[in-house]
Amino acid sequence: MFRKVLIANRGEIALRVIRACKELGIRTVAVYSDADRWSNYVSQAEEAYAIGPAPARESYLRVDKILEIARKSGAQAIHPGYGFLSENADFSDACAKAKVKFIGPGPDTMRSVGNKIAARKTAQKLGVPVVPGISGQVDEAQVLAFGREHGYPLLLKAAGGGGGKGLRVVREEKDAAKALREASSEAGHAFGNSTVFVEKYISKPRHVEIQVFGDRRGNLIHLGERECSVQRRHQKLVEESPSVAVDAKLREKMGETAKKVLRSVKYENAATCEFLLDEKGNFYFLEVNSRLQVEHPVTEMITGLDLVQMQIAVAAGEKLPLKQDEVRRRGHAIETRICAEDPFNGFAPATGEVAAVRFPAGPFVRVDSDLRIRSQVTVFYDSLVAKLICWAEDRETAVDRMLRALREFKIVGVQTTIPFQIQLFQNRKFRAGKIHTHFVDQEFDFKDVKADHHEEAAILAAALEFLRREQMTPKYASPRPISPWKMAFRDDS
Amino acid sequence: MKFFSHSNGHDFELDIQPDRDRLLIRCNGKEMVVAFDDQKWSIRTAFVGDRRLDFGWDRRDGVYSLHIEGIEYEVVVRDPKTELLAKVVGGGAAASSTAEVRAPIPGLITKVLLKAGDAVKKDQPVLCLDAMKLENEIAAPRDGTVRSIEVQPGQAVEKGQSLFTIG
Repeated sequence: MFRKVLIANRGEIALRVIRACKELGIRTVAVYSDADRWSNYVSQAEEAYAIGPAPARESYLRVDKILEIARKSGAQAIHPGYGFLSENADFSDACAKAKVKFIGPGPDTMRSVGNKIAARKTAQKLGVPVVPGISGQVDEAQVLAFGREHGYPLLLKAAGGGGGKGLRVVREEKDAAKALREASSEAGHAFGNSTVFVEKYISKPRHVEIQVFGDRRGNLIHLGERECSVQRRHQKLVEESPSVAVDAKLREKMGETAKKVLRSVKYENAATCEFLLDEKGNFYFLEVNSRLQVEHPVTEMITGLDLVQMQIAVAAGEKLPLKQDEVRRRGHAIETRICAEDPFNGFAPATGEVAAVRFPAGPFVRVDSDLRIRSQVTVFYDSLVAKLICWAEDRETAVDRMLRALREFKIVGVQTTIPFQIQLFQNRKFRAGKIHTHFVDQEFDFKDVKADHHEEAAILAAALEFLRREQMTPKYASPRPISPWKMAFRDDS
Repeated sequence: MKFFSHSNGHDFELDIQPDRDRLLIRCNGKEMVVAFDDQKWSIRTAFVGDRRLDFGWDRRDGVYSLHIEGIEYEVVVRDPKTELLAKVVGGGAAASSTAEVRAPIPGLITKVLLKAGDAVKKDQPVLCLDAMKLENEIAAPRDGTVRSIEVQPGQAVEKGQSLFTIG
């Protein structure tokens, strides 16, 4: 086992890795940019080194500086977290050259799964289903033939694509020719490239991914699925396991499929295989993420495994601690990502200083966050400030627990998405499990309730100002005695 | 003691009188009793009438941040003297011929297209602000001359930070 590990990341994931290391008796080395000097994770690590100015390309993406600190500090391995250098094969290469173990797959494996088109071809060769499509200019005859083979609806999309331009859903054969002309012309105007691809349109798909783990001896296990269908503009908001749409049989099938893909590249360490799942239970391979995922705690909560410690052990050459038939899953876990964004203002990033934080607690509630009082939330990094994870025996209880914990959660001084999440977890369709990747953008109606508390805010602010001026020591006193029994049943919201 | 509170376009006139360990408050004519707990922290409890509020707060540069049920409110509190002054100054600024443009969202300044002294037309881009992975052109609100540019390329700006002034 390693004696010292460098964490080439920041924020909550750096703290997560530090915690895993400490429990294993491994010394930790943190790196920080100028913006993160006073962060919690920096003070939790045994050693910490500055790596440069706030922008990531001058700090957390500086391979040379990170390797220099690894050498100086005597770290034997580097954990890249997620984002930044975690899927950078050149970094993995550079680590190998510097004789520091990169905690993740080797550079060649990373390259072979990192290229989406190559990964799709690999999957196809293995007989793994992918969303049927033709990635090349198609004419009318080809579109019609494709429709006859795979059925409608079809999706026409511009090769130069983005922003919904040159995108057409074709529901019936008779609309195909016109839609192709329109999409092609629109794409030409918008991107200067009128090339249009065709693929099978999957309405209301679910995003379901399989957590896979491999060791150096070729052992490979899957830890079941996570459903991440609740997304806003392709950003995951809620992740859970099990998925309401996956039963034991489908789990087994998807798990073995994911293992087949990863076995073909001799995968070592943690990987996630992403699939789309349609309404009929057909699944299609999307891509492989060759790193620890943001939502890994969901799997940890239901399997009882520490995925980060497993990553470290496997990287150190140890065998996987369990076999496929020893994987146990129990109950239901949900994670939600709390971001410093203003849901009342189009999710614009919110920045500033955190005046206070109060994390929720109580049974089966986990908070992964690097926030503390006086933390600075800046524009330099991801807006994720906390992950809230709840576990219960079943989904409904887990959702109720999540709501309770969200109402307990306070981050003062910087607007977060918590009010949005409180509404989301009360949504009837969500609670019924009727979710898909377009759910938030198309079906969920967020209610802007911000106007409600201006008066209270104005009164409290004026009163606090009055007290400040009076230097009066405020004492607790209820204006009217209220029965504690009455208080106990009063709805907090 | 009289105060004026302003919360994002909502204006309140308050009169506050201490009464032993509570406050008697009249807010826009409505009377209520307010009591605070004795916590020194930034998360506290108050009763406004018989409504209990679990709130967070902070005060910086004289502006209060109130956090109620997950939502941040910025409240400016002024006494009658400063309220009068603000009205005069604020009214003066509105009546004068300069327009200050502030950052609508936090981000990074990527380009500054004009310099002080340049003539500018309404809707002409003056600088580019990179935020939420998108480049936003910040344009002049009206015809005029660029009086000053407060930022440089590469500089990170907070929401509400002054970017430039058109005169």
